[in-house]
Amino acid sequence: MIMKTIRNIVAALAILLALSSVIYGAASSSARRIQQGETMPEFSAVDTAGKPFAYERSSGHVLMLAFLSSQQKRSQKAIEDINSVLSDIPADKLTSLQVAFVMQNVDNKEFIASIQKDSPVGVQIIGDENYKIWGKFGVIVTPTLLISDSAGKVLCVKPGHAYDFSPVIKFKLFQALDIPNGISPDDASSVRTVANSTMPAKAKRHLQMAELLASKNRVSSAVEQAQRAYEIDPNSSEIALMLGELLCQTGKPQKAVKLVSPLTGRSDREKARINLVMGWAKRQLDQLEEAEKFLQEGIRQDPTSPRLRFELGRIYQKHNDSERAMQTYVQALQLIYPEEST
Amino acid sequence: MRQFITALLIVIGLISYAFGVEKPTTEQDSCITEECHVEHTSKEIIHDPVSEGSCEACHESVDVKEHTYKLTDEEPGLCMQCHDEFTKKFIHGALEEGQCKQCHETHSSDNKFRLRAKTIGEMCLQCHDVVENATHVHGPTSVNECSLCHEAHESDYENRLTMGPDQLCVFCHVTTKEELDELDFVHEAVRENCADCHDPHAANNWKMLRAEAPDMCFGCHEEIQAKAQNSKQQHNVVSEQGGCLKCHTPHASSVRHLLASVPTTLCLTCHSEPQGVSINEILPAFNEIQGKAYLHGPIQEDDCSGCHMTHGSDNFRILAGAYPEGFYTSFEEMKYELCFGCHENTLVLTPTADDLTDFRNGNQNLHFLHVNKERRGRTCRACHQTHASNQPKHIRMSVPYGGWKDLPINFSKTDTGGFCDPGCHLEKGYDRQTPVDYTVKPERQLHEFNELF
Repeated sequence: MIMKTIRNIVAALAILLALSSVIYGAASSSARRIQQGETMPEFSAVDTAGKPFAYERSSGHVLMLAFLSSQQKRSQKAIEDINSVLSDIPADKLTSLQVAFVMQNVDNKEFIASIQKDSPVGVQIIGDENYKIWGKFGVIVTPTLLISDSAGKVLCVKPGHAYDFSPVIKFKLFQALDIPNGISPDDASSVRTVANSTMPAKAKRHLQMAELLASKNRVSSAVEQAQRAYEIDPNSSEIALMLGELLCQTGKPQKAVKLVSPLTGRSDREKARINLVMGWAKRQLDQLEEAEKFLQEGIRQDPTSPRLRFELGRIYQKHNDSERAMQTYVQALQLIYPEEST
Repeated sequence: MRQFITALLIVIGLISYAFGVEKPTTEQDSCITEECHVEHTSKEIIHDPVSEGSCEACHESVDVKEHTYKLTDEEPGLCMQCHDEFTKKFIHGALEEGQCKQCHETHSSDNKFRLRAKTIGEMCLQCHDVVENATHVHGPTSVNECSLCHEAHESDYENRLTMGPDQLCVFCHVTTKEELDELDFVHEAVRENCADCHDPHAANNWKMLRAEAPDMCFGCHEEIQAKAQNSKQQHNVVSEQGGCLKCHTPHASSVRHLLASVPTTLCLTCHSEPQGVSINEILPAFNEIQGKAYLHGPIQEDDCSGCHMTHGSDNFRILAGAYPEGFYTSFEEMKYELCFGCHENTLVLTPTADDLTDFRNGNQNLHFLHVNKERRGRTCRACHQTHASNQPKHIRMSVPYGGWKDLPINFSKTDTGGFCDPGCHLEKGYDRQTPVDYTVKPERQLHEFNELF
């Protein structure tokens, strides 16, 4: 009985051992290829020009190592992408970057020459006829691109030339070289496209049309466009202010006040625009005292606005204070034509 | 009756003469008086020389007694005496012909710029009917704001645009501009001229496209059209109405080929359900990668186009290159064009290898051994599941072999090699460090054989 139990335990252990070897086998199955987060192996070689190449982690260089084929379309497209990404790197960062292409069939001199001619940085091309470097990194396809950071940690292993080859290597290379690129890691391989049919995009289109029409002195048409923009996006203070100014221009001060008075303004410049519309409209409504207050406040918030000073000048003119009116008009003109201020 | 009419005409003539204003026969201080030429100042917008009474700016006397006058110059020279000459590259056709009066009243008008029509748009419409009952009209066109995009007289840009075509559209389409600036892959046509695809005035297609996809796209992408329409294996969706836009975005994308989304997402939009390939063939729903532990590289990279030509191909399953359909084939490099698109052909061309592959016994290249045979070489599919499997290197669990649907592979991997116990041969192992001696029969088989007797 005891013997039987021992035999069962041994059998169970044997099964467990067998299973663990299968599990271990599976886990290490992808171990041929170097993985992201691992340490980049050091290696040295001689490039096709006879120049030595050495990668040493202690050098603090970022390494971009591309395994390519001189006979493959995908590799050629990958080279185009690599060159495009490299050309976006600021010159001061290039000194801390090592770039090497590992290839078989390096006897294709024309191809090698074209790579070196098109590359925005010095690329060393290393022949690997016996797949020694290939084997060291566990590469199984071309193109395969590896990027390691200045500490020698592998940041990117990108086999094939998939849809996201360019954005991913750009993101990883910029990350390795500490170049801000404004893309979050999640966005690097996501697909972003132009989405110009959103409501804010439509509102902006009408607003721009309004600005263009206003610049051509087509004010009533500009008002129509600004109103359309406002109907689409009534929460945009930019649109409300543009419409408010245009309403003042077309002599509709009450509508302008109604539109702009609820606004608070997020910046001094925006607050100044609110005060401009309010002052402008109040002047038209003959509420000169209030109008002056709004405009003075606006000038304090944005001393660079000629329109605020022009409107203030018109209030002084209405008060028959010709001296101050003239001074204020001149100040407005000086803001428009600073070079002629003398 | 005839006599009566003649008499009537004589009477009318006499009355007209009696009430008519006589032409002056001497020099006058002003041409515009209560009796004469008053209509020239009766409208709101008056030409400056007219309002100043400077008729001689444009007219000169021929014969004072006869009160006959002529213009001081012909058009457009007459107008150019005061108005600047046109110096830019593109000038309005009417102006080039000296027809200022085609659009402007010379003396006065009720319309801005002394136009002959109420608005610029109405004026333009008299010659340029750019809408012609179109169903989709551009905003500025629909509100007759032609001058938003065009200069009335002259411009340095073709079609007298107010700005270069690369700047004009994005002046209003600011969101598009912002997004274009952020994306690395921009459609060449977008960089050059939006009007290549969109009619800037009006069209009968959505978004004012000059034609619908794919016809619109085929206009430039002839090689894709040829692929889509002439390939032995066609991807039906490409030639369907709006086909291109099912996978591509027309303006710009953060990825190559202006893809609208991640390729596998795009493909599975349709292929998660069975798809009819022809009357006789239905492609089953593609679900063989779900839950699988080991994915083929392109699948892992979400890139079906790694192996499939998305527009069409002469290879079955619209593959990007030749790939044997069966279990066996006599070896020829050309037959594996697809695989050699990424993998080294030396994988099956050299009998020995060190670092090229892990599938070797010592340095004996077992890929070469299996595949490179004059007769009955095993194809890749004999051992590898093309898309995904639950075994390392996406090795199959089983493979169809003639009528035998599930010939087992029984593969297991070790740190330095592995074992196969397939339906094809007795169990064989391989070891890169300590090569297995194939001259010795496998032990397990001997035991099993002995147990039988």
